[in-house]
Amino acid sequence: MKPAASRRRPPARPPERSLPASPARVRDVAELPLTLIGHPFATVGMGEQLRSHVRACVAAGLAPRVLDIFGHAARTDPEHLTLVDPRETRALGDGIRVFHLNGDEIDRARERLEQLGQAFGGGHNVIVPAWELPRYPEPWAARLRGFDEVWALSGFIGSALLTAGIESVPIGQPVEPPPGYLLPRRHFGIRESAFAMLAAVDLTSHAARKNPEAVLALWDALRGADPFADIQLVLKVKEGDAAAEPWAAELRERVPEAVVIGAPLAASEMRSLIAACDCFVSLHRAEGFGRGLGEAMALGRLALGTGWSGNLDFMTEANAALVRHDLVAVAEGAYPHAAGQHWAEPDVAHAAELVRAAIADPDAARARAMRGRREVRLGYSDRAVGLRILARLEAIAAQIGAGVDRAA
Amino acid sequence: MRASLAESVIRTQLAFASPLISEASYRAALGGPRSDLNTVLGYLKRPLGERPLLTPYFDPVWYCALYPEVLEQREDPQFHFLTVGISEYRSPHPLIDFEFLRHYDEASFVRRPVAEALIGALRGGLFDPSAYFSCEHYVEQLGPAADTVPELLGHFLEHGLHRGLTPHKLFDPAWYAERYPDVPKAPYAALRHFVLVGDRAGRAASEAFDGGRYLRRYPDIASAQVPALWHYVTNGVREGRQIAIEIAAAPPPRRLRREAPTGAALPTDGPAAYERLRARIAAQRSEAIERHAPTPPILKSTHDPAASLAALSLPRVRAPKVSVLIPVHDALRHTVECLMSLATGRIRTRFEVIVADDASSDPGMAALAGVANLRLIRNERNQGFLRTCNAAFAAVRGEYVLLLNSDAQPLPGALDALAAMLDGDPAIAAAAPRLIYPDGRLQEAGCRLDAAGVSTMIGLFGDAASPAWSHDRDVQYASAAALMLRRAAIGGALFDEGFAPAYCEDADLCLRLLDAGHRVRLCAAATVAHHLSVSTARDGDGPKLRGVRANQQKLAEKWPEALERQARVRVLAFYLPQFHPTPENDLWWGRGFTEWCNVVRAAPSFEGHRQPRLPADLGLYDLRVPAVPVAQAALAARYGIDGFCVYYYNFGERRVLDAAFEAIVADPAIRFPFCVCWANENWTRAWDGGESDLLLAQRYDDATLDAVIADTIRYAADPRYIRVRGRPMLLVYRPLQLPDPAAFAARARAAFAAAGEPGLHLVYVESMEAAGRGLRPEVIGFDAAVEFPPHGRGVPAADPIRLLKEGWTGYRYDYEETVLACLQGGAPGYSRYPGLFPGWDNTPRQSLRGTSFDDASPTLFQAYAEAKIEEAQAQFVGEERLVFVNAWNEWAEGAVLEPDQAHGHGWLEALRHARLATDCL
Repeated sequence: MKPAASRRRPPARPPERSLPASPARVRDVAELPLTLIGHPFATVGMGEQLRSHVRACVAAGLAPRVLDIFGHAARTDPEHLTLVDPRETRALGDGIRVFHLNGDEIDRARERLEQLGQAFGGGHNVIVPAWELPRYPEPWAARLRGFDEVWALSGFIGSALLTAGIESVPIGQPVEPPPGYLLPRRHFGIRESAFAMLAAVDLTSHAARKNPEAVLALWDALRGADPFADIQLVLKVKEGDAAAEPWAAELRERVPEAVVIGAPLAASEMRSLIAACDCFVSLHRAEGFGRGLGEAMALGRLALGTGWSGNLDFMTEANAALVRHDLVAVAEGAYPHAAGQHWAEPDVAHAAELVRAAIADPDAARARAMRGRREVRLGYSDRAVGLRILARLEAIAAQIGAGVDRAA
Repeated sequence: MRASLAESVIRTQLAFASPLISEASYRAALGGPRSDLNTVLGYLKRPLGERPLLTPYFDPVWYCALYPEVLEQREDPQFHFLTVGISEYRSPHPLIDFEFLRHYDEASFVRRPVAEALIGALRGGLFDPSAYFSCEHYVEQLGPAADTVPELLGHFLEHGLHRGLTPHKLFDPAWYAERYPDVPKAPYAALRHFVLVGDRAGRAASEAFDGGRYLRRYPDIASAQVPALWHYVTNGVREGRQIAIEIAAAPPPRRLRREAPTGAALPTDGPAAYERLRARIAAQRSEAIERHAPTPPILKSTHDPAASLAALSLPRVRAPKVSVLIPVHDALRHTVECLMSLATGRIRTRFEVIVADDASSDPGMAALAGVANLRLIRNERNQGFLRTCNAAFAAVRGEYVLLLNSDAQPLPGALDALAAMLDGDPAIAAAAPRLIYPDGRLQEAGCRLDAAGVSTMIGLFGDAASPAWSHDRDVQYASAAALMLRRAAIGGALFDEGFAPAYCEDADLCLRLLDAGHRVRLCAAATVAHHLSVSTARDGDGPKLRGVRANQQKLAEKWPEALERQARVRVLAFYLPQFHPTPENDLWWGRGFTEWCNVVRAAPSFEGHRQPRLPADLGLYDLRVPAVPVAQAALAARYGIDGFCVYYYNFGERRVLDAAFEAIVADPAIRFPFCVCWANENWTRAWDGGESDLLLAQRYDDATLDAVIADTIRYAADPRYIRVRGRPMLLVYRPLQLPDPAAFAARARAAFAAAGEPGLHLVYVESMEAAGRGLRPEVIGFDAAVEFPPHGRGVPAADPIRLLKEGWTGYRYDYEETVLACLQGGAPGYSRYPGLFPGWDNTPRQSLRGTSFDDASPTLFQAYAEAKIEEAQAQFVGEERLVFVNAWNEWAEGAVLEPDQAHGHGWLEALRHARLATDCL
């Protein structure tokens, strides 16, 4: 982590272009300032979600601005800088604001906006929350109601919101990899001949959801069945994680042949790592969207994931490897706001069966992965998602115009 | 006697009027002006040996040494050169070599008298006057002062030489005089001595160049009896010959050998090398665009559209063959100019013109109704481009319809050429002209679509005369700005109204035609000038960009499988079925011989030379083991290589190396897509396909040809055999060794037809003597060619090396520079499948005479592969989108994709990544 002093501050900018005097005159949606607010430099999911929406807007011919609301994250990744820097703003703007924030951040965010002298009420506010369980937490839902509308990143999140009485617009998020050089497998020390399975492990909080233990169980099942199979487990452990170190140490003991990557990776390196592995494994108990799986598919890799929750928006039996599961009650304390909720318990034996099938018939596995690539690129490219955003913005622009007309 | 003196004075005065002699030097030498006959007389009166020199570019000692008959005949050498010698291109000076100059600057010497051309070349400083004087090197030594020097050679002779500057980086006259006691010490005399005597005798020219060592290393040069430095400068450097500093006689220490980077895994070189080569490729392309000075076409133009319109008359046609459909919306002047180009274009085809006016607001447009024989359709309300075209299309009568934008002008002959293309082949449903900008630059030579439906205009901003864009070829689609359609192939509506108001409707139309089995073809003989403004799409370019993106998405959703299928490029790798013992090799090279014997014993020739190059995953395999081709095929499939092009050896009296291949053919369970390449060359002891030390001579009698064809027909029956548009593909490695290639082609085609095949796709390899000739395949009855790098393309490596082998006389080339050379200039003007090489080094076969392409790496290979895949995407469609790799497993030539110990799977991974980057995984 870089000390705060070395962070690059947002540059001073001339005052934002304001809304046309009478919004009824709005003819083109591009005349409405569009601002995306959130954590544009964070390497966590919320950051990736926001950046992917910036790329989507650009692909659809929009000119989004980006507001780094808390300025917490270090600005080190060149790819993030290239994307965000030229679009950065310090003002909310008085057009459409799209907040990429979670329900529990909203109060702090609004406080922060007040500190910054930005009027929350001066535009059309959209919120794009992440969430991973079937029912959206009621305390957070109350916060969402302070927004003009909610966008759903997946059908799963849309349903969860509905259980809290919140209607949402299905938008999704793109998983298209930006162009650029991909590092070879050797760079990561992964055995080139092996069938390499990559799993991302996040032990910072509520590890039960991502379910890394199931990945190890999958490994044990595969290795146990064939001690000499040319397979390798690759684990990307989230950086800056105190809990991860002892876990990783234990893992190295338990699976000495695993490649454990604990160092922080730049976006391009993470993409390279996904492209370098034959299969992306996610034996999650629940996912809001399942970005990693989608990115692997976009790179032509086989996605193997629990057949439940947000990832079903883009994963099917035909384009990926879906793991059977049971639905079980979420154990107490395993996840916030989970009382009375359920999630999936993936069938590790089935996952092992799917991996063995992919190794035994690589042609079929490749054909499946290629279909996955085609399908996510059609529905989850920057352009496809950008056009969904555009359509929604046009509707909002029309609404605003109509509303003003009525008021007049 | 008097008359002859007068004549002689006049002749001499005329000779001295040469541009090689300046007025100033003349006055300085003779004390009077050139116009004064008395000074000439004064010159003539002096004895031969005392006559002054009038030009710095003439050295009588040199001249008489070269041409002793001049002295024998008691002639004035200076006068002889100016009158006789120069017209015979005799050399006047050690640093002036007409043959050398003319080799590089032939044009000047054709256009102008020799003396003028010489003085022009010397002043221009673009061409070196001889192998011993390098303008570039002299400029470097002068530094910024060079800008004030009008003529480099003269300056060197007068000043530089005496200040210790050198004429060439490898030639230092002072050092030479110091080194050899018999050489005169004066700088110029030493210089002349070297050029006249020393270089021929193999003496050292400088610390950096030892002629003796060079001649000893390359006996072929010694036996040709040419001067050493002269040879190196004129030929050797381009041939990759080395003048390295050798390590003293003692063999290199063991330590050094072990340090040679082989056997151990090399680190990957990361994104920097990739980005560098990509940037250089891009710079090379944009430089070509910037360098190009286009010639604007002659276009119709009017300053008074109304008057021009009133004067317009179109031909009266009862049954038009072509209906020209022009959708218009205002833009009267462009419209009138477009109509003028049709009215006065001397078009032989019967055509009618239909103007569909989409509710123009310009009242001047109404006058269109008055043009004789013009059919005007007018929308009362604005319908947009797409609906206007659709409505008008229903009204056309012609067998063919030329869609033509009102801001376009067909150049003479375009309409006839397009109609002739549709006449010529009923499978062609759309014929597209090349579009150029009014300034003459190319706008598009057809278009291509990626899997996501995003289009690229092929050849945008390029040189319209470049061969790459100047031959007929199938394209995925072409802009409807000017597109001739076969009306019967359209069926129903012209454009899909789902794309209204505009964008991508033309791409959709062509995809529809392709989907129905028709072809869309670029007609290079037809050119249309089109005023198109191409604005680059940036953030927030507003409604237009959004409209384009929305329709691209519609296109992608409408044709997902077709777009992905069409975006595909098949990558095939040449496959050597060596690596198993054969009776022939047992006899010639010893029992148990395979190429591995050469591969494993190779040693580095110089520091940094990566030898031996050893296999990793597949080991030192034996192709008799059935598991080997299974593993090879699995590896290929894993990284997206679509098949193997297997070398097939049939000498007439016998087939060689066929056992392993026949075993693959016999086992249909091996997933091994293949085609064959007849490797029709002699086998020699030197592995060079030459004429000496023959082991097996290639025969070309009818029986041999028939046997080759019969084998290929048998292979082609295999379901794994690789086909192009349904036809089995056969390659011939050295087409020009066939006594009559066209006869062979005809014979093979007849045999394939007789065997029930729908045809034969016959491809020649641009190898050896066929490399760099630009031989159009149809000239020898073939269908296409394959680029075969690095044959004929090497860019030498001239950096100094430290030799590790006593007596090494090999050649070195630079991989990255060679890649750039392979990409320079783009595709040729005929069907040639792009080729790639991951590296090349035949040191295993030629320990002391090896040729290597140094510093190849998977990262560089990836950038190279991307550029070549893009070439295939631009030049071909469908199953003809092929890229060949030389090679899968030429271990003894270092052209290998199979995993090796230094780079592992890097070469294969680079190919996969290149396919990802070019959207054709």
